[in-house]
Amino acid sequence: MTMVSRRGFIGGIGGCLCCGGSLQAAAPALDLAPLLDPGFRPADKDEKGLWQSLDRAERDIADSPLRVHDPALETYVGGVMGKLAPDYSGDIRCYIVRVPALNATMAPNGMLLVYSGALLRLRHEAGLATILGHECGHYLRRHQIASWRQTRGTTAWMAFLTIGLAIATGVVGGNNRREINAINNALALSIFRYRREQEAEADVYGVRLMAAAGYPPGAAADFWRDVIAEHDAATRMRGGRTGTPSLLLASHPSDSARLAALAKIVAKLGPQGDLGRAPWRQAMATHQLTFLDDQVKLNDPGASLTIIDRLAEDGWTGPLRYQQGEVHRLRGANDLAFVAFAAAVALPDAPALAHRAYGYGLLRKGQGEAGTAELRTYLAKAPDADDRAMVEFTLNQ
Amino acid sequence: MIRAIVLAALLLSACTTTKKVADRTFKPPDRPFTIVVFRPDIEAGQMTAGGLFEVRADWTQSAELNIAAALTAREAKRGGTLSIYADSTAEPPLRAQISEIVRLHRTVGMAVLRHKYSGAELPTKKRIFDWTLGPGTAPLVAATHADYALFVYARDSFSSGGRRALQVLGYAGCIVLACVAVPGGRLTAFASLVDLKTGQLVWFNVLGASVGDMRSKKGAARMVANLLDTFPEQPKPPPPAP
Amino acid sequence: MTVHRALATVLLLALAACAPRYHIVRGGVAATPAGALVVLPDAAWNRAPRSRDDLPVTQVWTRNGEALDRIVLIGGLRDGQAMVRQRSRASGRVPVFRADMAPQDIVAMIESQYRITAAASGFRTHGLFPDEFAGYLGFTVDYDFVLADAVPRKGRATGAVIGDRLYLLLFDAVAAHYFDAGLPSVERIAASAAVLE
Repeated sequence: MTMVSRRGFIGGIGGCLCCGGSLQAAAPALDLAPLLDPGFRPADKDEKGLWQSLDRAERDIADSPLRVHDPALETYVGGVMGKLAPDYSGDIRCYIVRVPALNATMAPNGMLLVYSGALLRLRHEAGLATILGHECGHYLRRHQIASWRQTRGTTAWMAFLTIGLAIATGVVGGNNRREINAINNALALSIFRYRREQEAEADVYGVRLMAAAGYPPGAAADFWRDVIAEHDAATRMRGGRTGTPSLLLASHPSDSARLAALAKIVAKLGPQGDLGRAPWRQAMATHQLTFLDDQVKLNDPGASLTIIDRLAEDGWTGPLRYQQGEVHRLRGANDLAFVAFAAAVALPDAPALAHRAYGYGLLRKGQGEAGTAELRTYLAKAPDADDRAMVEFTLNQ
Repeated sequence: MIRAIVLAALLLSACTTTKKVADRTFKPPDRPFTIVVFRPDIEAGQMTAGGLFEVRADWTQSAELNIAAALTAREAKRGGTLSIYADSTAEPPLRAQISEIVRLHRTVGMAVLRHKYSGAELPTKKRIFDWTLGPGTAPLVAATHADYALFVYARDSFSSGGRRALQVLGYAGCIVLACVAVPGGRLTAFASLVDLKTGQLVWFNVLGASVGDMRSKKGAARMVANLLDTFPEQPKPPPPAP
Repeated sequence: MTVHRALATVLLLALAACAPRYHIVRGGVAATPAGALVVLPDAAWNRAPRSRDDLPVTQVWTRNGEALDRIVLIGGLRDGQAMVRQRSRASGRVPVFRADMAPQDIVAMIESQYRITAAASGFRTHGLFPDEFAGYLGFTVDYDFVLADAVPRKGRATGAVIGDRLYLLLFDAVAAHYFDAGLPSVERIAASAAVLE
């Protein structure tokens, strides 16, 4: 039942937010300078080619149905980027894409894609500044082209070694496949190590930009703490170990190292600035529940429940309780779902769908009268419900 | 991804250069027709020593210009008109419409490549070719003043210095009876013609071997001639009045 | 321009070398391997080769290629079973079917399946109504969504829970032309469905 590859879209075009980057013991210095000037245009052959391909990808994304076509939200995101890197605001263009994953990618031509899944996980403007600052770090330090060159060089070595050793084996005999594999693995790991170093640098650069723009740099540490907590919760609920299973991942220093290094920098920069909760809430008002719905339907309960709990820190609302119930309903935990739906309908801003879900829950428990009453409330609250015929059928049974 | 499928198609198609698949019932109109080319998808670059594709902007730009010139000249010689649609002069609604059609064509074109060229043959389509973009293309007849849209996809990679050295090393192995074949850069291309009135794909062709270096004018002309060798003919001009 | 892309190319080439086989399903009886759901196709469809994720009770048919149109027949999903096979470590798990699900729960399960296995974006359902399937009371629902290729698609699901098993016919296709072109045949196929006890 495979359809179109989910990796077909925007894969592999720039630095990514959550590639498992980490700060080493020796964190990059705080006084890194940008490696490009405002209005930068590439001069090298390989970089020009990369830009050209990306310009096309950008044209594709600009009018794609996957883009969240909300000029107000994009202007807001662009405005925060402008605060972080005022000299470069003419060079960076922000696009929001509706993909429920915690990610953002900055392409070297200045195309910044922020995934709806990343916005969903934020609670204030400073959180957004954390993501944008990090991506800006990739851009200003020209990480993508450097990374491409490193990969190109390393894979060339791998090819020469493989073929040279294959010929040598043909001449002297014997089997040296193990040696070839060992060397190639080491080279492949060097590519990942290089990218990790870039991630660490982008972290530091981002935090510095945040502080300069008047955001409390501590928000960056909070952001990564949330990411780690969500990841752990998701893994636990999947029944997996929170450790690092594969060889490749084992080569990554732990996330706690990243946090510790960030905390050190934050301490140096000192706490200051405004988190910007109000403007954030306003910018996301019409999107938050849509993005949450996209996340919940992925049936990744650990992650979804962590996100919902965090959004509920400002108080539980009907829609949040309803989505909490949906998480449990999808994973088959009907009793927990029932409790959440009951809580949702008790709140003044209960969404119509909560009444439907609670109604069917009551019917399943044999409470016919209460159940049909909830279903009637659902139809009254959502007169254009697309499943009206189905619900009326249930009511007439 | 398209590139991978085109490559796979080429690897499997036993033919040396081109193989045409088209709607056999298709008859071009008996009046001269006009063709518009939407966003030709062309990239030229080098294959790095490690076998990665690296786009070169200058090569791509000359390839684009050369192929556009070759297409226009070829059609003019045949008595037809061909224009290259320019995004820069189009109104935003038209631009969005064309994006939609280009994306749809990408998906349909990939299905054609997969099911006509890669061995994943659909038994119900053994002798028919009836893929279509649907009637949504009809408004473009008026908007672009064209009868047909031509879609062109081409990727040409040339072995970098490092890759050539690797190839030499592989061949050198033959001297000591340990040959290693190192694939070098290659050209992959396909083109398809869509009847804008109906949306039908009326002609489709895949090019598998390097027949011309599209970075040069001459090479691009040769490539276009090969790719379009079975292209629907323009009607013969009426005989001059006696 | 990444290692991943180069790797994907190599993998695709390797896969293409053993090209999948499609088989024709003409008028006649087609049944899922479990032998339970029987439909009579009125026109010629192609049965797609089994994919790794398909259950033994699943068949996929297409006319123009699965990326353009496809019918998915699921001939009897047991209580506790998901619509597709998944790696146990997958981050999003396709929800499992429960025999006591309301039609709305089944629709939510189908929607999650699209979102998880195909990365469907902007999935919307409309018009869920009670319908007969294989002679039993079931449901039909329409939906639309977008995949990574950014081409809008439409779908229709019709099915029923019969003897604690879910019998399902999904049809999804590119919204431009392919959905409307395939629908009449799909409707006749759905109407012909029968379940062998």
